[in-house]
Amino acid sequence: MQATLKNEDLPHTGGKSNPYADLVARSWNNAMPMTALWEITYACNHKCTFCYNSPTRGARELTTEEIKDGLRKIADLGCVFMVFSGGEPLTRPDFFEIAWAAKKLGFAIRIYTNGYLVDEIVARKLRELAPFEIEISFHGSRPESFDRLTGIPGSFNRVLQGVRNLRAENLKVNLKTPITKWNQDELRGIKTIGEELGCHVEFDPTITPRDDGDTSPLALQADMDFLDRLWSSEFVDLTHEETPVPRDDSKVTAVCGTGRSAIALDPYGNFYPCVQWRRKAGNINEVEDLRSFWRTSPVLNEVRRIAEEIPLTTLKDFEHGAFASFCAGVAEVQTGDPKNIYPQLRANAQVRAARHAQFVTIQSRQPEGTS
Amino acid sequence: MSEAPLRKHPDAASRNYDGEAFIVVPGLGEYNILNPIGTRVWDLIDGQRGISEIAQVISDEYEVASDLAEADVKSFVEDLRKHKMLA
Repeated sequence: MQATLKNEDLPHTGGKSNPYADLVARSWNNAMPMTALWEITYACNHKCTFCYNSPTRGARELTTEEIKDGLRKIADLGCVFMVFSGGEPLTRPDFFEIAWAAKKLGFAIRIYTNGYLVDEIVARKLRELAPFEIEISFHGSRPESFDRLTGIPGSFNRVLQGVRNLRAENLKVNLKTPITKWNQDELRGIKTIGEELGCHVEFDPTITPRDDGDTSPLALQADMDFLDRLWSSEFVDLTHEETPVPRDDSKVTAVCGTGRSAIALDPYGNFYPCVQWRRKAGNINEVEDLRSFWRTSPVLNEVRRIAEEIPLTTLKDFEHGAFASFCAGVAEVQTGDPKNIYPQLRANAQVRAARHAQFVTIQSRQPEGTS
Repeated sequence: MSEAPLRKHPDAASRNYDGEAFIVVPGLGEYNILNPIGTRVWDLIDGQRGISEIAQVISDEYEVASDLAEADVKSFVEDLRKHKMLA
């Protein structure tokens, strides 16, 4: 009656077939949303220079009751994962009231936090909440680089203690490091910190423009030479779990899950097809029947159509197009057209294809009977 | 003799997609997907019914012999326990 899985293969990876991958593929193909990411506030106690948030001046963030009402609508839509993000979600004084409301609605909760406010009391309250996982942005292995990236002196030590507090409560913590010029030489040190604390560590080489189109964060991107090295054997122990494989267009009809597998909301209740593609589809306060809206929204239907066209047009003749992690949201922000190639895509596809080729070479050298 | 009612783990989150229950259990980093019959059993676990009552419903709905239904449900419940999906 049951299948148990730990593998998070996504359909576009062409990973081995399993019921979870099949479910996610159906989520994409049938626009059956499983995840909602809600930036419940843009308030933040860090000042990361590469942050993509673009708060709207003068706009009012939703009240506790408005968010709780929105959660009910999203539960009815069918999402099982509720990701609380920000800004820094723990800066909201009503964070736990909101999170408990989500839990009572049957959501599996993920929290994206910078960890700065996680003292022993907050860690204990989080253990009682029992989120599925907590993801902490971890910017360096040394206070100098970490604090430089967050803009907050002392943040390295305080966040490190926050992670320790969470692990002391036996909570699952993932450390996520956006790779920048300022921390690109510290990945191994970050991995070591993560391993010592019992955390999974994930490195993200993608820095995106701000939501309002400001491309200044891109100046902090790791340089191309480094990205080449990142996918070489030098870093195989850091990246081996994420070997890129070509997109399998026979399994999925769209280049990504935008408007299909997930929705994203900002602190004002505006919702979008995904966190990267900020085409406003509506406002949760103004939509009574979200299930019906999800099916009929012209904006959502338009982004779904575009996501289906991209593999057949933009990426069809693009070198290593099957490896490109194409983001229509980034394309739209940077070029004005969601189907256009954007500057960093070429490097993205090249390094992913190269990494895949290396993986295939390694596999072909394995003696028979090993894996 | 009355049997103990089955209860879902209070931290287990689930939704039904296309008739299949997708269940997330915090702490294990594990997802579980149940087939339609398993999903029906999962839905019947309400803190009131025990194995026999659930097996009787399955027997009636799927037209299988009571003893077979009970054995299958019992085995399935053990699986659920093993994966920490029950309280």
